[in-house]
Amino acid sequence: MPALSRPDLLDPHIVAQLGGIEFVARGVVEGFLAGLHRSPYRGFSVEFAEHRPYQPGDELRYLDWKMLARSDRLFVKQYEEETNLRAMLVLDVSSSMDWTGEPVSRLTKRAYADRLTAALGLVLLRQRDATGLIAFDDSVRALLPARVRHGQWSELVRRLGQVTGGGGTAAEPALRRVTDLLRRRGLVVFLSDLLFDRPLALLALRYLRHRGHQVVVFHLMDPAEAALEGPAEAQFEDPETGVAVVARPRELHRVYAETVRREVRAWELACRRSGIAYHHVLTDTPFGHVLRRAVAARARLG
Amino acid sequence: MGFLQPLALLALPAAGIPLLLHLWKRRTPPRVPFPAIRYIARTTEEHRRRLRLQHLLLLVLRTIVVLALVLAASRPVVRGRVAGAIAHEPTALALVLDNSLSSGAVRGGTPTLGLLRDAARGTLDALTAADELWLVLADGVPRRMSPVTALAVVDSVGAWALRLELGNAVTQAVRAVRDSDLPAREVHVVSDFQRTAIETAAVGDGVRTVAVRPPGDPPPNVGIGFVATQEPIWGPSGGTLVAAPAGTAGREATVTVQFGERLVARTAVRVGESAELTVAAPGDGWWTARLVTGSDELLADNEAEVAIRFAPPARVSVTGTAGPFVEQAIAVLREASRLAEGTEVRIADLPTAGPTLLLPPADPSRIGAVNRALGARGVEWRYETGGAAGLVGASPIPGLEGVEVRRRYRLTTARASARGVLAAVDGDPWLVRAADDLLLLGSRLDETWSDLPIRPGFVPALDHLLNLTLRGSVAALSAAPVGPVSLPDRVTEVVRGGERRRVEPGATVAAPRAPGAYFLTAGSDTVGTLAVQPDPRESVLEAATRGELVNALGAEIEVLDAVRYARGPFGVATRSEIAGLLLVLALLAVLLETVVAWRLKGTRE
Repeated sequence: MPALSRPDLLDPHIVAQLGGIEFVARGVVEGFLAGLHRSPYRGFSVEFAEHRPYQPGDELRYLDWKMLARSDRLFVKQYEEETNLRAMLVLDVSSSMDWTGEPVSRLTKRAYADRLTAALGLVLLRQRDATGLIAFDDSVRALLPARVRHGQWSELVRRLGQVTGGGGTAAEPALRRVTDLLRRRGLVVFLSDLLFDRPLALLALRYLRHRGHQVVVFHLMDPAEAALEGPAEAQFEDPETGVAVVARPRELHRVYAETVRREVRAWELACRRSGIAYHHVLTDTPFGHVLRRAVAARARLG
Repeated sequence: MGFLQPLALLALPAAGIPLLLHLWKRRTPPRVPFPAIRYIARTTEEHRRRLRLQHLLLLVLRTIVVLALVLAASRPVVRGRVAGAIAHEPTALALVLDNSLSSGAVRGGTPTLGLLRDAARGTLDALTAADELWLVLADGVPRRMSPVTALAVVDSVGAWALRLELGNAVTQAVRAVRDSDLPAREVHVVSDFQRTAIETAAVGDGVRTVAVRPPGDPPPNVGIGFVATQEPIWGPSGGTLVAAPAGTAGREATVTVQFGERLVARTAVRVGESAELTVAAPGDGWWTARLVTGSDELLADNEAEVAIRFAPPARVSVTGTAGPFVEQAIAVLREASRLAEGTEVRIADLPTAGPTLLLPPADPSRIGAVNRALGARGVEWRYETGGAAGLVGASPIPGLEGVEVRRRYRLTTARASARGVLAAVDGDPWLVRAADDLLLLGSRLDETWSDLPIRPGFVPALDHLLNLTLRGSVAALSAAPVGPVSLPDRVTEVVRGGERRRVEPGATVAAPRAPGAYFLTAGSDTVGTLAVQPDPRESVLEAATRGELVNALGAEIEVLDAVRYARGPFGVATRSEIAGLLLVLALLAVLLETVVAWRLKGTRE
């Protein structure tokens, strides 16, 4: 399939212009799953359990016609729904997420995260994983418990559209709240720009891990945050805290990039040591690439 | 420290521009929202010291660049010598370049003038627009000119056949620079300093005077110092040339006389002596005799020329009563082929047409008739009775001096100053040239009038008067090159070879620069000769000692050799212009600034 017809491989900003979160996420997931060459309705969400003799009233579509041909007896196939995974998508909606270095041609980190979260939710729900959502800034702004019921994804998308953040980031309390909400072992997908105190956030993530959760961290970063650009001299101001620093991008360009690389590397090492899957995601990365990493992480859970 | 362009210092405040820009940029940076400010803060914190140092270094370097450029534009000069930046205080300089005849001498394989020229060229190269320059050549005239023009003159000028009047030249040079407003005033004399050229000069008066001598010793030399003819017009038997060599004392020279390529006489003579060379007549008419000595290291004085007229015997006749002594003398001269029969020249007792030696009448009553005849011919001289006896004084006519005059007429003229007197008795004219072709004698040629007819010099004197004096007055002039010459009244042109120079009759003109024999003409007639001969002292090449220089030019004079002079021609107030060094400093600062800025901004990824 040509890449241009697959929304999961297109530039996120272009894909986002096609419609709302729900439409985009669905298109992305459809394209993504088609790329896997596997039916989304078989083998993903339902697994074959056993045969049992046909009884009047059973639906004919569950008859095993091959068994009938071989043994001349009627059997129906029984499927076991996979209900042992509970996934919680933890989304940072602080004001630092509502920023892009290229307002015209690039999604904000928040917009990118919304669409990625919706797509992840759709993938998980199609696998019959109970999926929920927590949005937080300096407190929990939205909470959708993990369920696998019909309409769960629509509700998730609706909550994504409704949630308003814009405050400061306080990941550690939000993650503790996640711990409280996830009684059973499950998957925690953490999407954030990680612009907060690393030791505290790591402490909470390690705690989740300690409780038996599989933790996946998506470190979202605008490309403009990875490479410092700007006028000869500028007063850079944090939209969250209002703290300002005067700097000369051309002078700091090289050492700043080095600082960012070290920060990413530090997060990666810290997560790896704690058994946490870490993914550094630039907001111009096609959604399909990120989904592939998420699916790989889900597959490791079995 | 001083500045050649002090107005440029007005731009010094521009040195504050980098600091102002630095402060201005720090005050008004635009605000940019940026969530990942913690990364910037961490980066600046980690590199704060390095960045601050680099910013400070950039600020200093940029200030240095502006300062260095402004200072370089003001052309600062400092006292002392700075390598690669030698300069001097603005100087009024009179450079005396001795291109006199002696500078043509070759010493050590190189013409002396070439050595002097090299020394002068080094000084001229060091001059700037801030200096004032006078160039003085062998004619001793200070000429104000630019260094560029002076260089062209020095490169092209040759050795002139002149004598540099050193004392006068130095005095003129000192006068030229003395009144300059510039802080330094100097006279540099670049010369071979012949001992014979040293004269006292007015030096000092705040003017530094430097004498620069060429390397090596002057070569020995002998040239034609003097040549003259005993008479400008020679008879058919030829005549005698007098020649004296000049140059190194005691040296002997062989002097030859040539008419064209034909060698007619030769003799050997030492410097300090003179020789007479008898020359036979090569033919009638004007001839140029060329005297030549052997070749040596100074060629310009090895030749001299003199013009001679060879005339045939005068054809003489006697009109009236001349007396037996005259008759006998003419007969003797005719026998000796010194005279011939004819009417070209007359001896008469009344004025006649054509060249005439007029004898006064024996009878005083005839004086009136003679005077009327003179007046009719336009002659202003008159005979008067009453002349006293006496002795003839000095006379250009051979044999007349010392003649005892016993009886005579007085010769008078209405003019205030008598001209044309050839012999006088106690100051009274006795023999006069009343016109070009008329001689008046105050006494008859008889032993009762004077003892001339019975003196041995009578016949030669008559020969001279008839063959030479009466056959035209020929002016035999001599002068130094470009020296003043008072021309006879009739002369309209000065001619040599094919070169003709028109002159005002009777004017005083500068003699030609090139030595040689020149003819003075009036229309188609040659009425005189001009022998232009260099000063014989130019042939004496011996150089003056340092002591002699100091004695002549004063104790303040600095005597330098060419090498020492080339190292620093200007005085103790030598200064160095450091604009070039400042430009180098600015360039280095720019390069360093580029490196620091490049390191500060880093390479773009």
